[in-house]
Amino acid sequence: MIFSSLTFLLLFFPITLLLYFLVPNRAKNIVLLLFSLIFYSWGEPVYIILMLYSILLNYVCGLMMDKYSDMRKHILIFGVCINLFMLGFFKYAGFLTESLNSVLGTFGISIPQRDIALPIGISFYTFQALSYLIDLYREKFPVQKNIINFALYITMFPQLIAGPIVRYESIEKELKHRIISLEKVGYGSLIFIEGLAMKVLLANQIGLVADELRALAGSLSVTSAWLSALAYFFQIYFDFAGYSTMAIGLGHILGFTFCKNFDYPYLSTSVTEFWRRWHMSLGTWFREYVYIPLGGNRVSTIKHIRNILIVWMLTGLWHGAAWNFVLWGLYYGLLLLFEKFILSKINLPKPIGWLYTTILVLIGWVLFSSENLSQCMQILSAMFGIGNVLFDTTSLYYLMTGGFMLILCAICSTPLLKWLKEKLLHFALGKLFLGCLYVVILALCILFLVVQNYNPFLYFRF
Amino acid sequence: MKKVISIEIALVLLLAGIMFLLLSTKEPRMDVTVEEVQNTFSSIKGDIAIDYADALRIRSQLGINPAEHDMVVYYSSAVDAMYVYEFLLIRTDENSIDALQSTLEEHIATRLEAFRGYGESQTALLEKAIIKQYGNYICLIVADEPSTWLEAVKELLEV
Amino acid sequence: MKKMNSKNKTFHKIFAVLFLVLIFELALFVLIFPDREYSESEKRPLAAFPTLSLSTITDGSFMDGIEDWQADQFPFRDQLMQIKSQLNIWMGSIRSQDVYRCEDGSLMEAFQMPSEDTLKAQAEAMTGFASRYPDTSFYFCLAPTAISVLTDKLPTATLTDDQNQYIDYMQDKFSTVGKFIDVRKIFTEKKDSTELYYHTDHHWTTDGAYLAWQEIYKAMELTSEVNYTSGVVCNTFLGSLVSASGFPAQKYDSIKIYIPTEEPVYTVTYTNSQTMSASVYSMEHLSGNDPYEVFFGGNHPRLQIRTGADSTRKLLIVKDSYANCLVPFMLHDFSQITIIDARYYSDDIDMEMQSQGYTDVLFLYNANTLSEDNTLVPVLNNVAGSLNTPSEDTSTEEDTSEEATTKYTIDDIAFIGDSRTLSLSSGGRLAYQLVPSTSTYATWGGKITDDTASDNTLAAAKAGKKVGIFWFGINDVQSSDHALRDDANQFRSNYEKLIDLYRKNNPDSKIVILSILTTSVHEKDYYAKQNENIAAYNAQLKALCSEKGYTYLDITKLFTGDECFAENDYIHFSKDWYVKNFIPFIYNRFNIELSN
Repeated sequence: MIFSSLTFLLLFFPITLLLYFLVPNRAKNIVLLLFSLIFYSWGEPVYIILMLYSILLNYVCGLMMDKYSDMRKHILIFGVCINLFMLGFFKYAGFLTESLNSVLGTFGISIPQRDIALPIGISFYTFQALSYLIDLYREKFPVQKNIINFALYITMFPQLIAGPIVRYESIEKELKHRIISLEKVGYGSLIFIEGLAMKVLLANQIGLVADELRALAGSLSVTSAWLSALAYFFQIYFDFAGYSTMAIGLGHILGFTFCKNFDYPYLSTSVTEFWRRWHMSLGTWFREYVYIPLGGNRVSTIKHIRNILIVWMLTGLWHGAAWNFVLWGLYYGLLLLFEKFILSKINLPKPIGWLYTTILVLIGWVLFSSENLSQCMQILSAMFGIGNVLFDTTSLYYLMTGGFMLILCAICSTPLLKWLKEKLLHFALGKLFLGCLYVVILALCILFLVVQNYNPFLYFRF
Repeated sequence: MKKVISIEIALVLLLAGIMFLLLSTKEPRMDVTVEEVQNTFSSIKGDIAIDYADALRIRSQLGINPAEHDMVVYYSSAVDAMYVYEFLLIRTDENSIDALQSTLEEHIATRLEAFRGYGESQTALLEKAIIKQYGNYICLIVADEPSTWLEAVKELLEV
Repeated sequence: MKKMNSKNKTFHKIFAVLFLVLIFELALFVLIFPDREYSESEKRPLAAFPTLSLSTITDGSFMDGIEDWQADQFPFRDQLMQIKSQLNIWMGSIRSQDVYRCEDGSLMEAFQMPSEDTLKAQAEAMTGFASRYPDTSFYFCLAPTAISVLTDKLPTATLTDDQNQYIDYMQDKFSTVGKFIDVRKIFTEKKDSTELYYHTDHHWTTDGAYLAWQEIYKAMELTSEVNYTSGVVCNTFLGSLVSASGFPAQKYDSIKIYIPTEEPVYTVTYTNSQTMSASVYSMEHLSGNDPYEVFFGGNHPRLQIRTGADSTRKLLIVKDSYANCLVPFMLHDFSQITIIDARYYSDDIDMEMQSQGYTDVLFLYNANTLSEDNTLVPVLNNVAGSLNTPSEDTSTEEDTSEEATTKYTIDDIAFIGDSRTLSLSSGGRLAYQLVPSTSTYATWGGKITDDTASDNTLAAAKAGKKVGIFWFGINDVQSSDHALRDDANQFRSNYEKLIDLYRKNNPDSKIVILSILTTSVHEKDYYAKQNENIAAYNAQLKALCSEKGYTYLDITKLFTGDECFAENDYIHFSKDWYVKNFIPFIYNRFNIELSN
């Protein structure tokens, strides 16, 4: 199930809320857990068993670490290995055998290929479980003895399927005691509507343009190629940020406080800054649990470079089981090294920095979104004018029909609307206007959902 | 120490069991005969007016040459091209199965194009058509309740 | 950590209430609202609540079903779609589902050039079909659609391909076998003065069809002189493009009918439904979903019109729905018009051509439909159809040109075989007397290892005929001689011995082996078992011929099902089958003149 669907908005969500608010405080966690399990099994009726196992595994490991504290390291290693094995097998086995086969093929050997379904959200819940185990080992908090509460941490529906990746440390207290108030409901619902609009009104619409243009990969003019990159650039941002925003809004409604995951990343004036504003929870996770344990930047330069490259290849790999994702990660790893060791010596004026960053990010997304290497090369070479025209009818067509949407997306990528909102909240008429506006936006989203039949969330299969 | 190791072993075994459950696929029965398929189909057919097709009709209506495959059982309307109900079960070797999948998908797509905008009942039927593979078998069903017919096929193949 | 400031506390509280009330009320309203079964505007049935069962949950179909049910059954869905379409238009959208919307609100379907393969296949199928019938006149009218004629109405930037390329290509290829009727010139001339196409539908108007008809009239050199007056039969026509695209229609279209000054007399027979009608118009369809169906009630696989026109010309039209409003103009010039729609046709078109004796064949399509079509090519190529179709199965690879042109007479041929051969002449129970008894050398129930087989072979060889056609096997396939029954190799070597005997006594004769045909699959299991080995036996025969240079003729195509057999017989063919299939095949193959 996804938040931007009629089933969630008009069936699951009202029922969940109703029961959640009606039951006494001690039962709220069970209710939420139950509905989270229903939410997950809606999309994954069979593989839910794997997630249940993950809960059991990590819960038991936690208890063992607490009870047999002299064996804590051993238990940690065991837990981490099993978690990584599950993730590795279900997500990467196919990719691994395919890659091995292409190498072994020259020797005439081939490993039999099996199509293994990728369970929804496995990357997210595995990373959350790992954060629990590792931080528990670091004694950052007491073990969670209540299996309901632990299960709730792993499966809580706002962040289960597509993040943000919530570290146990940050909601440990709220699992036991949180504030649920009408004020928070209002605050959260405003945020939720913002996220819903980003997904339904912006991402889905510009996504249509992105898909159509990408399909023309072999015959794009320069303008069309840049338009296609730009369309995807906006699509992935509003898709993912929209979903994270909805998750945060839902969290507030339920009494939880999740950290923000995106901070206007397209305003960045350097690639380093971009990665501090994009998918912040993932960056934090990799820093805490891979980069720092490897030594971070407190080691020799060679090792420092190695650490950065490892983290970035893993980041790329986390996004998908295919070589273009690894390359994408490496691309950013190298750019970050470049900025750290070379560009930092130069003082780039902000507008230049922004331009350079935006272009690099656009290119990065082409690498990320291409279905295969040849399509990627086709689009990139088209963007740089190799063997094609500057402008053609297709470009004109998409500028005329998609221009409005692109401008709207550009505006929404900046804090302009947020600033307007703050200003309006200063006086009564403004508040009235905002209230009505949000209702209208919600209605529009529902209208769009009724009429379109299909709007898959991009970061789903992670 | 021992306690920890034994709990760990239990967890690993549990995972192995779960993975086995999730990943094991049943191989279909390889010795299904034409007669058995015919019998199964007669019992689920109901009052749909489709007949057993001979080699020639299989060739002309599906573009599939039955001599190239182990077993081909096909039911369709011999007389009325507007009557889109179909039942097909083929057993072949693993190399041909993917080509068959594309042939059948194209077949349904062509029919859909022919009826879209003109024949609503046919369009509705064709849109819920099922094409399913089980090992070396491939099955095509165009019916009011395709899942019912598919269940019968699954039972016959023992998957 | 995003901290919530308590500055706007009341605002948030009020909004919370508003939000919750809205969501709960909407959810309730949607649930209570009654379900609809069918959508008039989308022209499709609407999803119902899905069936709940363990299997539908485990494979996820129940969940998908709920999503579909929610979307389809949302209250006021049609009105909401109209609002969305209007919003789209305001945001600059000019295209939806391959339909373009012009400034004045008229809708046009986009065109996509078919692939190289499709182009070739279509051209070859049509020219191939035409060359099979050199005595018939062929015509092809590939009509342009609005998108390539009314170009000045289109918005500035569109993504459609150029239809003219397609029409030019087909014109070029077809002109080698018949007349191509190009209506583009007259259409471009008249596009401003005549409403050639509907605003909301992909068809041409009856006015447009009339213009095209005049071109066809000239090309086919027709002679009738009829005057028409036109009248509107429907002025609330909203065509297919409205529901296909979702764009709201600006205004209604009108459907016209042309009424001739002298009413033609005719009957229309619909082959599929076995019904007849006295009119090409079906007035009751005017109030239905698609008023365009007033012409012939829509599309049918095949229909036939017999007219009282004073003409010996008979016309076969292979068409799409563009022809529906044009055929009424043709009733005065042909005594018989048969109309076939390849999308629904599953019969043998060569049989159709041969049995009816058409003088003219007209292909009438619009460029859009034909570019997306993949039913015409198989119908014309007629792979599984009758014998006049050149196909890879009928003959072997070693078809020398000498063979193809040498004429034989029936007396040049010796048929050697079993009961299936004997039935041809005057021997045995069936005795169809289709060939002289001096042509057959066969015994009822003759197995290849029997003495009778070698006796017959010797006799045939001594007769010194030019061609020896061997047709053994059906009795051996289920032979009581166990060794023979399963072993195709054994069968082959026995056959080889027989033929060697023949060749020894008639070294100059041509050797032909016919493939073994099946018996009935029904009735007795015994007969069905016979068929199990036939493929293996035939494979051996084919290999034998290939090795020795004999001619192997695969006659599998002659077999069309159980109706080939004689009554209450599961192994012997009926006279009808021999007359319609076997004899013509043999005669054709050896260029023998058919006497009757």
